[in-house]
Amino acid sequence: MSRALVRHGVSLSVVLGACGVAAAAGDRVVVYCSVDETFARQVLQRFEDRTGVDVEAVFDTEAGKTTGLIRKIRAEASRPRADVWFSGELFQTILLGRDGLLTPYVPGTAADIPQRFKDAQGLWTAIGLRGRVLAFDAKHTSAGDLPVRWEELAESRYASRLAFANPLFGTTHGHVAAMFALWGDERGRRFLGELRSGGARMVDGNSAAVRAVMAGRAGFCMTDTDDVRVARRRLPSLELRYLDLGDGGTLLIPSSVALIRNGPNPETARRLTEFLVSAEVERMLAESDSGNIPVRPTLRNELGMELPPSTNLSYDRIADAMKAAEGAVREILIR
Amino acid sequence: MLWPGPGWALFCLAVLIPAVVLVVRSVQLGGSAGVSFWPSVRQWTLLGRTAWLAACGVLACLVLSLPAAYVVGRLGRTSRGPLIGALLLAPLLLPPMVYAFGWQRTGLSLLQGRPGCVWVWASWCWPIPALLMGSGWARGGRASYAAALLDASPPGAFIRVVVPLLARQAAVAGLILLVLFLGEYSVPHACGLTVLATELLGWAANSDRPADVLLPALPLAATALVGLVVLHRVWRRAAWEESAADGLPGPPVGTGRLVALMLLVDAGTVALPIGLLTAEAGSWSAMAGALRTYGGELAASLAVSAATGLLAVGMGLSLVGGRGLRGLALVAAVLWGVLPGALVGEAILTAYQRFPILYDHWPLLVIGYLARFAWIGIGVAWLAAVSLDRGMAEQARTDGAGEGAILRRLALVPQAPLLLCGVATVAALSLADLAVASLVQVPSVGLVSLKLIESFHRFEDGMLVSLSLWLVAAAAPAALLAWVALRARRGGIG
Repeated sequence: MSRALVRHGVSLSVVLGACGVAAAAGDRVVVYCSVDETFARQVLQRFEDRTGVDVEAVFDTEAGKTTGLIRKIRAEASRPRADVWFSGELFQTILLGRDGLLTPYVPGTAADIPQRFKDAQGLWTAIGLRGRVLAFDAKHTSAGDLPVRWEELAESRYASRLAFANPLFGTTHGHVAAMFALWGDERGRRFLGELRSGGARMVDGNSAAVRAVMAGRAGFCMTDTDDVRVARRRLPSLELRYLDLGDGGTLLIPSSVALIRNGPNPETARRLTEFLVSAEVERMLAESDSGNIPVRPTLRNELGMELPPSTNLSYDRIADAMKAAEGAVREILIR
Repeated sequence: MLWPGPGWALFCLAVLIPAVVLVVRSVQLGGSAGVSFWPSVRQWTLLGRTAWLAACGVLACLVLSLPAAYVVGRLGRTSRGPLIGALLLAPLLLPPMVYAFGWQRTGLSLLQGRPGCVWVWASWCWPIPALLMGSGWARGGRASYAAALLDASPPGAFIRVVVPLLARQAAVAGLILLVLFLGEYSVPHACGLTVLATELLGWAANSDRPADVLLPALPLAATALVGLVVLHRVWRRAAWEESAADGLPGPPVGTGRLVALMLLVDAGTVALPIGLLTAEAGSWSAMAGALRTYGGELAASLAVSAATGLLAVGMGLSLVGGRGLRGLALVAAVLWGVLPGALVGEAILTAYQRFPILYDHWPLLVIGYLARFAWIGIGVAWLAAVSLDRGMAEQARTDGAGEGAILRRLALVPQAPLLLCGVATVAALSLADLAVASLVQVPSVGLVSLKLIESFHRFEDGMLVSLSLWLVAAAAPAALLAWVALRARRGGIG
C-alpha cells in the first residue's frame, strides 16, 4: 500500500516538476486586451521599445465573445494576474468598476480628454470611438431601401432581411442596452419580439453578421464601423449607414483603459495606462484599419475627422440598462 | 503491467479534479435567474442541428474512408507500406480550420454552410475509420472475401462482403467521430454556422455561474452516452469472423496501385484545399512576414500541442496497462470531452487558480487541452490493447512474459500507426482549439489558433493563408517522421 502511495506521489511530483517554471523577473506588466490585436500589438510594442518594460498581453477574440477576459478578471479577483484592462468597449469596464475590480488612477496624459469620456472617480478613461451602424452591400441594396431609425428594423419588411450578433455579447450587448435605456423596457422588449417574429437572423458575432451580408444571406446587418472597414478589403461595395437611436444619433462606443485592483505590477501598470490613453495612441487608433474617431476634439480637427450624429445617453445610463437588456434577450431571443 | 501512476496523476489533473470542482461550484452558486434545468426551445433546436450535422459528418467520413480502408486491409499492416502509412496520417496532422479556409477558396456554394462543414470534417477525419476498418479487415473476414472474389472485382467484393462484416470497427469509429464532431467548434464557426457548442461558449464566456453552462450541456453528454451504449450493443452482437490468416496480407496486389489509390484520396481531400491556399499565398515575403509576426506563437503552440498529444496517448497507455477502473476512466473522459470547451476551460481555471505554478504558465494550457481530448488518448490506447493477438499473448504468458511486456511487444509495436494517429489527432485538435484556449490562455504563451481565427474575423486573408501554410509546413516533418519510423519497423520486424 505504502509503495503504491509512494509511486503515485512520485508520479504527481514528476508531472508537477515538469511544470516547474520560474516567474519572470524584472520590469513587466500584464495587460488583458480586447482591442483589435493587429493594432494593439503595435501599440504595446512601441511601449516596450520606449520603456524596456516587458509587456505580456492576453488577447480576447470574437471567438471568445469579447467577454472571455471579463470573466477571467472576475474569476481572478482574489489574486489578480492582470495589471491593465485595455478594452474595445466601455460598458463592461463600467460594470467592473462598480463591482470593485478596478483601482482609481487619473493619467496625466488624459488631461485633454473631455469629461464625458473619463470616470468621475478615475476608474477608467475612454479613447477612440466606433459607431454602431447598419452595413449593406450597395450592389444589392440601395440606400433608399434602408430605414432611418434603429427602431424601424423591427418592421417585418426590414426584419426579414436583417442579421445581427447575439446581443448577450460584445458591442451588440451595449447597443441593445442603449435601446432599453432610451426607449424603456416595454418598447425594448417589443423591438426584440418583433425582430424574432419578423425572421431576423441572429448569428454568433459581428463579423459573422457582416459575412452573412457579403454572402447574400442577409440584406443588411447591425455592426460596428471597424467591421465594415476591414470587410471592404474583400467587398469594396460594402457600405454603412448611421441610424438614429431616437434622440438624434447612433451609439458611439469608445475603447477604455483601466487599472486592475491589486494587480501584481502597479508601477509599470500606471506607466502603461499613461501611454495607452495618450494622444499618440489615439492618433494611432484613428489611423489604423479600425479608423476609430478620437474623443479629443483637437485631434479630430487635426485629422479631419468628424463625429457622426450621436445619442445623448450617458454611458453610465447604458451600463445601468445592461441587466434588463440581457434578461429580455434571454427571455425573448434565446428561449 | 505498465506503471499506472503517471496516467492516473494526469487523469486526476485534467479530468477528475476539474470535474469535481465544477460540480461543487455549480451546486454552491446555482444557476442564474431565468436559467432552467430543462433546455430552452432554442437549445433543443441547436442540439438537433448539432446532432444532425455530426451524424452527417460521421456518415460522410465513413464513406470517404472506404478506399483507404481497402488499402490498409489489403496491405495487412501499414508498416508494410511506410509511404501509405505516412499518407494515411497526413490529413490528421493539420488543424481542421485550415481545411475549412482551404475549401472556402474553391468558391463553390456546395462547400459553404452545412454541406461545407460536413465535407471539411470528412476530408479531415477519414483516416480514423480507414485505419480502424482496414486493420479489422486485415485480422478477419478473409474467407468471405476470398469467396466473393469468385464473382466480383476486389473493390466490389470489399464493398459487398467485407464492409458489412466490419460493423464493430465502424461503430467504434462512428463513436469517436461523433464525440469529436459534437463538441467541435472551429469548423462550424469557420463555416458561419451556430451549433450548440457555439452557444455554450458564449454562455460560458458571459456567465459567472458554471451551472448556466453545465445544465444546457448535459444533452450533449447524454447524446455521447447513448452513442457509447449503442457501441456496446453493436460490439456484442456483430458477427465477427476471425480469419485463419490473421495479420497476413490478402491476395497479392501491387503496392504501387495501393499507393496510387492513397495518393488519389489524399489529393482529393488534402492536396486540393492546401493547394488552393498555396496559390493564394502570394509571395514568400508574406509568409516571412507572418513568421516574423507570429513565429513565437507558432512555435509555442506547436510545442504545447505536441506535448499534449504525447501526454494524452501516454496517459491512455498507462491507464489501460494498469487495467483497474480503466473503463470508468474512458467513460468519464468521453463525457468530459463532449462538454463544451469553454465549460472545461472554466473548470480548469476554477480548479487551479490557487496554484500559480500551474495557473500562470503553459502547463495550464496542456492540462486544458488534455482535459478536452483525454478520451482520444485513452480510446486509442484501448484499441491498441484490444487488438492484442490472444493466442500469442497466452503463449507469451505461459512462457513467463509479464503483462507489460506482452502489451508493449504484441499490441503497442504493431499498433504504432494507430498510436501515432492518436498523437496527431490530439495535437491537431489542440492546435486548432479555440474554446478552451480562449479561457485558459496565459500571458507568456500566445496561441496561433486565436491569431488564425482573428485573421479570419478581420478579413486579413494574407495573414490567414500564410499562417495556415506555416501550420502545413510544421506538419510535414511529422509525416516524414512517421514514414521513417514505419520504414525502420519494416526493416526490423516486417
